[in-house]
This record gives sequence, C-alpha cells and structure tokens, in this order.
Amino acid sequence: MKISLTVTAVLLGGLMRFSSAQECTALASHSGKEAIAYLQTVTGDARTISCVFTAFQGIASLPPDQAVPVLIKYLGYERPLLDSEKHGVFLTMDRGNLYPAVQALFNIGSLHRGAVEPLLLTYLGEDHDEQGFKSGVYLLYVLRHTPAAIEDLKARWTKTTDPAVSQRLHEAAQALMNWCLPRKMCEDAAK
Amino acid sequence: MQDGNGNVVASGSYDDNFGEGYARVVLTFQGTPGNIYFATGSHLDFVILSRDQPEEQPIEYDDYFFYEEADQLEAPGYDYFPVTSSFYGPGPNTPTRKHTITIANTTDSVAYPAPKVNLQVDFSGAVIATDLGYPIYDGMMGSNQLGLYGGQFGSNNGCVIGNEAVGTVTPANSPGPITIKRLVTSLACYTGASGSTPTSCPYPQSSLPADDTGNLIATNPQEMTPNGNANGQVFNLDIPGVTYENTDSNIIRLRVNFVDYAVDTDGKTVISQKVPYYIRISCSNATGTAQLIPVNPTDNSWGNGTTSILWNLH
Repeated sequence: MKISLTVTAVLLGGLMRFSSAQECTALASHSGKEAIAYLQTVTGDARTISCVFTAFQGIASLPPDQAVPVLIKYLGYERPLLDSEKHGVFLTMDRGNLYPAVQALFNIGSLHRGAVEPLLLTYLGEDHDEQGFKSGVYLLYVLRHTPAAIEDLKARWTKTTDPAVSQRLHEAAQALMNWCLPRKMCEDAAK
Repeated sequence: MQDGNGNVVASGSYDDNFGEGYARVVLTFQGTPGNIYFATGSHLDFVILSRDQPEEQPIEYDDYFFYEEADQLEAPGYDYFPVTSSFYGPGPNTPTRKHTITIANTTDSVAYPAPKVNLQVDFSGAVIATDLGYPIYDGMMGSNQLGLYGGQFGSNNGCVIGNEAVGTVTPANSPGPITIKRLVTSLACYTGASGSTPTSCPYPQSSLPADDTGNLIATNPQEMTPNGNANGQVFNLDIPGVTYENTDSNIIRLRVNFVDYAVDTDGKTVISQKVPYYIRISCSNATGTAQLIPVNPTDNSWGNGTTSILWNLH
C-alpha cells in the first residue's frame, strides 16, 4: 500500500490546513503528537513538501517508544520530489533521502540501540508493498549490517508459527544477501 | 560500576554453580569521555554441600572446607542441616553462621581519554572494505571505486562523484560511537540548453548550512565487520550528483561546497578538524545515456577547499 499525503489535517479535534511553508512551520512549533495526527489523517498528494519534512521531524522528536510505531507505518512512503530532483539532481543516493521514515528511524536507532529493530522485524514479517519491503530491508541493513541483520531475521522466523511470516522473513534475508560481502558469511548465518 | 559521584551506572553478577572456576561479568554503559569510573567486584563463596545416603536418616553432609557445624549453618530455601551431620576438610579455622562468605574485593578504575579524530575525504581508489556502507555503495555503483562516474553505472544513469570520509580515531581503542557529519554550506544548480539558468536545489538557501550526513555511516571504531576490524576508523560515504530516470535534453550543472567533521558520542562535541571540500558536476542526458558536459577543464571535478558556485565557475 502506498501512502500519500495531502496538506489537510485534523489536529486535536480542530481543523487546520497546511497549505504553505509558514503554516508548516507552525506545525513544527507543536509537539510531535500533532505531527502524528497530521500523518495519520492525510490522504492524496502532498502539495507542500515542507509540511512532510516538518511532520516527520516532529514525530522523530518524540520519545522512541512513541515515534517508532508511527514511523514504521510510513517506511514505504516516498516523499514528493523537489523541483531540482525532478531534473535529476540529488545530493545523496541513499534511500533515506526519498523515504523520510527510513532516515528518521535510522537516526532514532543510532541514538537508542534496540529501539527500532523489534518492530522492524515485525514489519518485515507482514505484508507490505514493494517499496515498504525495500525500505525495511535497507533500514535493517544500515542499523544492523550483515550478518547480524540476517541472524536477527533467523531468530524471528525460528520463533514464528505462521508460514507466511516465515516466508517473508526469509525473503528479507535473501534481499540482504545482495549487501553481504563476503556472501558466504551471510549464507551460513541464514542456515 | 560507579561514576565519580558514587552513582551506580551499571551492575551485574555471575554465579559459578557448575565448577567453571571463574566468574565474568560484562557491563555496558554510556560514559562521558574524560570522566573516571570505578569498577568494584564483590566475590561471594557459596557453600554447596553434597548429601550422603539421601534416602536414609540421619542425613549427612560433607563439608570439605570445614565451615561450621551443621546446626550453625543457614540454608534458606533449601534443606536444613541436621545436628547429626558431620563435616570434614582443611577449611578455614573460623566458622561462620552465614551461608555466604565474602572472600575478596577488587577495585579498579578506567578512564578513556577524550577521543580525537583525524579526518580526510577520499575521492579515488576503492572504498575501504571495513566501511559498513561498502556493500551498499558497491551495489549502487556496480563498483567499489570512488570518484567521477558519467553514464550508466549499476542500475543508474547519471553523473555522480562517489566519496568516502575516513576518520582515524585516537586512541584507536575508543569505544565510540563517533559520527562523521556532513554539512552543505553552499550550493547552486543550473539547467537549460546551456546549463546557465538557475534552478532550485535540494537545499534552499534559507536552510544552509544543511545537515547532509545521511545513513551510509559507520560509527563504531571497534566494529567487527565481515571484512575485518574497523581498527579505530569511522566512515561516511556519499554519492552526490545527477541521476536520470527520463531523457532530459537540458544540461544540469551542480556546484556544492561541503564541510565534514566528526562528533563525539553526544552527537555535538566536535572532535576533528573541519574538512571543506567541493564537487562540480555538469551532465546531460540528451541521448538517453548520461554524458559529462564540462563548462571548462576544471568542471566535473572535486577537491579540498571551496569552489565557485557560478554555472561557469568564474
């Protein structure tokens, strides 16, 4: 499922519209809870990309136990392109650039070890669209690297009794093999 | 483990109930560089008595260490010791009424000096194999080589400059994490048939200097990677440039000034020199395959210091 955003949001029972960068700045001045409400209620295409950045920054500023469950849901969300990016100009090619939840979760996971991985493994065992799956695998790699990331997946699929979950976790491990040098070390970890 | 104010920052215990002959406790905590921490270990000796003829009365116990008569020992949660038990052995002469005996204390302290980092940004050669971003870089670029790419690379089509910031930490056994940060201090983007028309850039002028650190970073100087120990080095990989998904007949020019520096575990304290560097890229995709279109011989290049961000580099 691809998640897309619009600039209309219901915040704390009131109706607020974010249609300009200035109003998005106002969003930033609130606590992260408003940003969660923003992302959870928006539909359609984003018209103001600064609102998207602001919302993710707001959520990332929450305590990890509140931020991570929300951000995980948005792993497959690809932000709108900047004008320069429509021309092809990118200052980085890493996945966190276009998928803001990836970078936000990476930042949290780097500061709070173990805060992201459990929910991320659960996410990878669930059914998500291709981009969500790719983001989840990428995030697991940059947080844990190989072969530790594959060992994490194996520990989870060993516990599960759901064959569909197990299958998805195996697929994630297979995707991680592409980033495993030397590859045999990861193949051994997956056995 | 206590800090200088006597606050316990970590604790743990280990029971050697199976005759291993040693006890080891590993404690992990986040310290402040420059502070002193005290490790204190208390060793307790448990009396484990074997029972002879368990099915018969009176029950007898063998105390090879000769701690005490049975009626003076306490064994909460276990059996009790009948008066008729006998104890043997060359143990301590002084009996005790406790079921545990403190036999030793150990006090030690360790202080890590505040780490320093010598930082450099590489634009040529191979990505260092112990850089954890190496496999992703290799996957994106179809090669582990740093430097200028123009055309098809990996599954991409564009013009980019792969670079690797390498921080060498002193002392080399510093635990980290140490992060190499990257700032964009100024930049300009141009398009049009001649590549001279200003267009928006990934970071608007109002946001500069902008944090461009990314996530292809390795922050643990002691990381054990599949390709060996990081040996006191930390990394940050970057691939700035132009990549195309569609044919674009316009020339795209990108001029960026960066500054890299390393920060300590708090994410704020700068512990390296600041390294300014730049990239210049001019690219076109008119034919469907990206081509380098330099405005002059100094274009499509990189270097230490700063660059003009004008389209023609004047």
